[in-house]
Amino acid sequence: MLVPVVLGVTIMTFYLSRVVLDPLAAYVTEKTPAYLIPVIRHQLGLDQPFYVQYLYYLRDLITLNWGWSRAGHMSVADAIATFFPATVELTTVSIIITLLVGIPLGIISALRNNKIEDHASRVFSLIGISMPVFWLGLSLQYLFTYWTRVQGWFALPSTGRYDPILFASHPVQRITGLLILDSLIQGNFVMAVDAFLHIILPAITLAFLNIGVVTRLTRSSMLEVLRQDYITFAKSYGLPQRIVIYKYALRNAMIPVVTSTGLMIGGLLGGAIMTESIFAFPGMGWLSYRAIIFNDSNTIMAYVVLSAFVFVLVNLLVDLIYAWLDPRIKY
Amino acid sequence: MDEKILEVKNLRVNFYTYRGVVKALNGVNLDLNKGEILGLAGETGSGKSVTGLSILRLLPQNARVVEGEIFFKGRDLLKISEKEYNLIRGKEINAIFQDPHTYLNPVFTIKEQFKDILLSKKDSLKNSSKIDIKKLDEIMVSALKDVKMPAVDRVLRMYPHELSGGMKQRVMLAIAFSLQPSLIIADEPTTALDVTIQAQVLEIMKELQRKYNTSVILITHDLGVIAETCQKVAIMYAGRIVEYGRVSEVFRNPLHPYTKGLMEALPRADIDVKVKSIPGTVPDLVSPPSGCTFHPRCPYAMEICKRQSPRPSYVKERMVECHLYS
Ligand SMILES: Nc1ncnc2c1ncn2[C@@H]1O[C@H](COP(=O)(O)OP(=O)(O)OP(=O)(O)O)[C@@H](O)[C@H]1O
Ligand code: SF4
Ligand SMILES: [Mg+2]
Repeated sequence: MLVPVVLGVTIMTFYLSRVVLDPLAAYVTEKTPAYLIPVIRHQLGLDQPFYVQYLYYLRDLITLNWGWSRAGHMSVADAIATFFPATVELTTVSIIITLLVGIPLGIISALRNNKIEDHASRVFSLIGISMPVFWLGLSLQYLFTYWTRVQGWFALPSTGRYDPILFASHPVQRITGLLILDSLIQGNFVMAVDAFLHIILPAITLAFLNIGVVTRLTRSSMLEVLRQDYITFAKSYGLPQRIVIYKYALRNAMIPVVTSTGLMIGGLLGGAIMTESIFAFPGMGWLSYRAIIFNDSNTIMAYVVLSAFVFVLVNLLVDLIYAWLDPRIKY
Repeated sequence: MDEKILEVKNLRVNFYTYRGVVKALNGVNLDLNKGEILGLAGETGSGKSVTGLSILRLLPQNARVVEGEIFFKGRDLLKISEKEYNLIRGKEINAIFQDPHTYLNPVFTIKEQFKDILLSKKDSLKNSSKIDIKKLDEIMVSALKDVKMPAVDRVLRMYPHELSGGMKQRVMLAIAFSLQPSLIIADEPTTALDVTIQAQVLEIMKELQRKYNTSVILITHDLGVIAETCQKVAIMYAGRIVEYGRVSEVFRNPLHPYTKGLMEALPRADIDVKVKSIPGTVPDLVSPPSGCTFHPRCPYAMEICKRQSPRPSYVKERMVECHLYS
């Protein structure tokens, strides 16, 4: 599955970038003399037949030779190496928040089916699902940066990934590109905390949407599982409620939640343009947004291929978790 | 003197549904002695499973016990707290269900599930306080050997879907008997199995029942199974027990017209007659017929049957509820 999907995407991006667009545009300005154009075209191999170009394209793709990114002022490979980890970090924190809030809320909802707790969680989920991201992001900034500072309590940073002044005094070496992780590895707790404080608001913004989905899904799937015969069986032997619910029911109920979480991760790793813009968070969303503005086809194409690759990878991961959760599934 | 282990008195259970109140049990009375197997028979929807689930206190959420008492070893099971009842479950009263495919948790191994049940009952394992893992293993292995399970160690490590239906049901039997309970409620334990395996499973159950002197309520609509397995039989119709007695007597001389109908509907190996089924359908329990609920289908129905419900008449251990005998 993995290979054909990724190959298919490369064919499409190749078609889009080489056949529909003229890649020459990336290397030519109005001041380029006309006689040089065929020379550049030849240098870039653009005068070769398409299948040969495609093979070159694949070779460049594999060797990370992705061209120059005008949006990032560096090579595309470097740009992705810089911006993608930020998105991975944001995604991770956001998904952890989503699951940490969504799953327990869903369980409570199911156990207190149609009681006050259930209604409360339903309203909360609906608000989360229907709230526009920009509004939520700006509101959080207003609340936790501006309002709490006016009250004299605290102020969460509203933009960026870290405090550059703090970074200058507590430098972190790049290992994985995940700032919190790198700081922790190097025992630099000041930066770890700072990076965490920077990431928390955008992560909550992104989590809010998904919490509703996870809550509702956990609830319905839990209710379904609690009706199953094996739960009756476990109860008929007087197993404690705690084991019946958190062991025997939850594991079965998590199966659909894993699927949708996988989709969420896939989506989030593509970068959240709006959230990253509001919080000036330098991730893939921010990069791709700039790439579009700058008409930076190299970056856009790399972004598309990367997204596809990430999606396939996440799906593979979901399948593995499936197999672990449900022994009936064999590959 | 027989020792009474279970006594159900005037049990009434309602289901509250969109269609209305389903009066699933309308005053069920049952007695069960120690070491006895009682067969509970009747057409589909007559309330056999609801009776079993009431005793186990596992009725669905839309059901209510509106009246009645269930005495188990002198204690009313309907009056004790859930916590107290959980101490009885698994240890004193166990259940075996119809479909072994759906009653074992698909995502845990047999061992894991078996172990959790034993652990939840650790107080009852001898030399209590400290849980002895080796002891747990011993119990599991010997319980599975009791049900003639081959390759016990391998079976323990398997997931339910890796076992056949018959093997799963034997696992259920092993779990049910492992703590030597006083009462087992078996709701159609063989209905979902192949005919050839049914006999095997029943045989194992009888053997274990004798070995541990367990009382069993065997729910089935197969009178043949009851004839082979049980000492007592109770025939249910529309949420009431209409006839009760020793298997030998009830089968030789069925009194209630409904029982007679069931007997005639029984295929017989010795004579080749066409099986007659009882005409008509099971009554709607939201608005059951007046008087004797069987009267619309009863070939002996009299005028009084439409107006007045029959009261039980007793002859020694035999009970029948029909105007013909009052
Ligand atoms: N969850 C439920 N909701 C509403 N009514 C129910 C429910 N479960 C059972 N009943 C009603 O209770 C009555 C008795 O059902 P029960 O399951 O005890 O029948 P049964 O004798 O076990 O039949 P079967 O041979 O099909 O197992 C039926 O008429 C049914 O309509
Ligand atoms: S009471 Fe009347 S209707 Fe009911 S079974 Fe007896 S004879 Fe038939
Ligand atoms: Mg039933």
